[in-house]
Amino acid sequence: MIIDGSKAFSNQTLEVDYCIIGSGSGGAFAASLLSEKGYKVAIIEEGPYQKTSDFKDMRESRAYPELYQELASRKTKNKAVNILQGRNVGGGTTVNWTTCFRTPENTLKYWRDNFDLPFTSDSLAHHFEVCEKRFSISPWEIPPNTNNSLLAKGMSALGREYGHISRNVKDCYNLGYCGVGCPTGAKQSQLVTSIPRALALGAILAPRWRAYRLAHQFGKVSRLEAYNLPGLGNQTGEIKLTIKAREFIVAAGAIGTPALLMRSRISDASGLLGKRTFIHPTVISGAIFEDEVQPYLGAPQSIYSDHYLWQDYGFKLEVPPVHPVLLASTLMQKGDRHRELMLKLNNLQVCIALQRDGFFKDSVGGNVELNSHGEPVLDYEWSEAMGEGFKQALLAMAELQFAAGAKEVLPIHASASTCTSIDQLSRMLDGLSMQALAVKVVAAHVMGGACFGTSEKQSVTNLDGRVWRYHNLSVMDGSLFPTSIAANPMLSILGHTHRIYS
Amino acid sequence: MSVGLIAWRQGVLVPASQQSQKISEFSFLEKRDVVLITALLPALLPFKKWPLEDTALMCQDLDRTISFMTKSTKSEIRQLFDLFHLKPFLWWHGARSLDQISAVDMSKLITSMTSSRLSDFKMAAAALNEIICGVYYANPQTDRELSYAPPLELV
Repeated sequence: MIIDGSKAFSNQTLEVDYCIIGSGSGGAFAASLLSEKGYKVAIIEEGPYQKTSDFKDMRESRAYPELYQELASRKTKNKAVNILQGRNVGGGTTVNWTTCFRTPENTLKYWRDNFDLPFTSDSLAHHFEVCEKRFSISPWEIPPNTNNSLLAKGMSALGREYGHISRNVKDCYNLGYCGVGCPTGAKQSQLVTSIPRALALGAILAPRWRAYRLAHQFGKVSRLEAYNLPGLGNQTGEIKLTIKAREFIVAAGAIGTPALLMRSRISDASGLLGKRTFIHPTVISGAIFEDEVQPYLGAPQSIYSDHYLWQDYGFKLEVPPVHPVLLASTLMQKGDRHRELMLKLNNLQVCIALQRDGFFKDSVGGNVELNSHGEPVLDYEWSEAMGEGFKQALLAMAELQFAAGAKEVLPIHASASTCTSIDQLSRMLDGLSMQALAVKVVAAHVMGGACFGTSEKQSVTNLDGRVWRYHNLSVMDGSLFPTSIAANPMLSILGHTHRIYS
Repeated sequence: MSVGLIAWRQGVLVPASQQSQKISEFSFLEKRDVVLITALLPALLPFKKWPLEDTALMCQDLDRTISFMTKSTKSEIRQLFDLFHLKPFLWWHGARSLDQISAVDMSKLITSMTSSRLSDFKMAAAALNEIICGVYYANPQTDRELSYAPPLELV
């Protein structure tokens, strides 16, 4: 059953076993696992329920307002970081670039050493295997597109390691429009896997409702109160949906989950709710090649490199798909210079460096706050040391781009200009500020803010995501992680969901 | 600039030239915002001429984009636009008024905001560039200009 808030005209009340808030990797997968066990489940989602057939135009102008938080232009409080987050049935999995990594062993070791978490690669292996099978995650056998192959070529020329990315696709057409919703249904997102499975087993899906507050007393949540979102906009309506349930699972993403718990005044002895929120801050390097790259065609991400990942302020190298609106809103140049770069789109190769976040004393992450409208905002600033990490990342990307044959390289920075050699670029970087709003920083992975742990003084939930002191309230999304994953987090979220709910 | 063909109807601004229903009424933009956008377009997108009809279409796309945003984002954009409606702000940057400012002077104004020590000005300049360029390139008619192969619609 589907109860669409955009078309609702009267208040409604539901009674179920499990109420799940959010339909991304954690929420939708938990919904299907619990439905398989025979529980009555309701999934509430702020975004719309759109299907594969709605994505056939493959247009950014349609996708960003409909499928992303704040039209894909969500920003941190100081406006220095653009955060790409899905907001639709399927969450980030509907619009991500299908990149799948297990949680790196180094990350798990850091968690064991610093947070007393018991997870190892071996202890999680079974859960990852099940998810890989269930969501068709396997190495991408088709040759990478030019954008990706230039990353491989550059790393290879420098004698540095790179690898091939596993993707969650089945019979993929290799189109390159994953970010605007897969038009063929090849991407094994939650939208085409767990959601239909849960619906077939009797789950209720309630899209276009914004979860406002959990009502609770004496450590027990009694109901969720949500309000409709009429039409396509972002304004909350006045029609109310009340869901009474035996158990409540919050899976609204690492900004939405802490925000709902904070709005609901959930007790938190650790003081960590909404704190230590990490984002893999990502810097960008563009390179112009003689031959056409067409960075918008083909599987968006198929090559990566962890060569620099575990050094100080290390970073993972990947490439993004480059479509016009994404490029136009990323470039920091203005006027004629902006246009000049836009006109080079076909010959543009772009690398991104995702910084490891949360592994150092001065890498404390950000805080989720509620503004005067009750909407969440992430207050995030980076340290000087991380800024130096950005510089190293921009240099490393330029080096590999030149090694791959780039004519010109442009670090995405307000004061940067194109360089024709690595020496010139290195000299320019020395003089560039890495402060907020000077260098372009984007993020597509938000983690932390309701971390799991073994003691209620040092974590928001226990190892199973159950909020301390609450009998029937859990968290099941990237909020649980005590640092960033140091890899694209979807498979980590799926793996823990399976660990807890299978 | 001339807003002669833009008129008030039932309290909202509509481009009066568009009798063919191509342009809808604005939900966010005010009359003075249209003056601002008319001044911004030749500075931020200087490679083309901005006849009134194109400006009106751009205003419509911008208004529609903003209408999808959250309350707090809308109020931030309101503050951003209102900044340019403050006379002292324009005078400080050497401009008399928005309807007399040239593209070159507007471009200088935005550049000085970008290099300002005040992070609010930097933020404002970056936001303007991002919004205006994002909305412009979201129009499929710009695909050909970029030699961007538009996606083949799947049947």
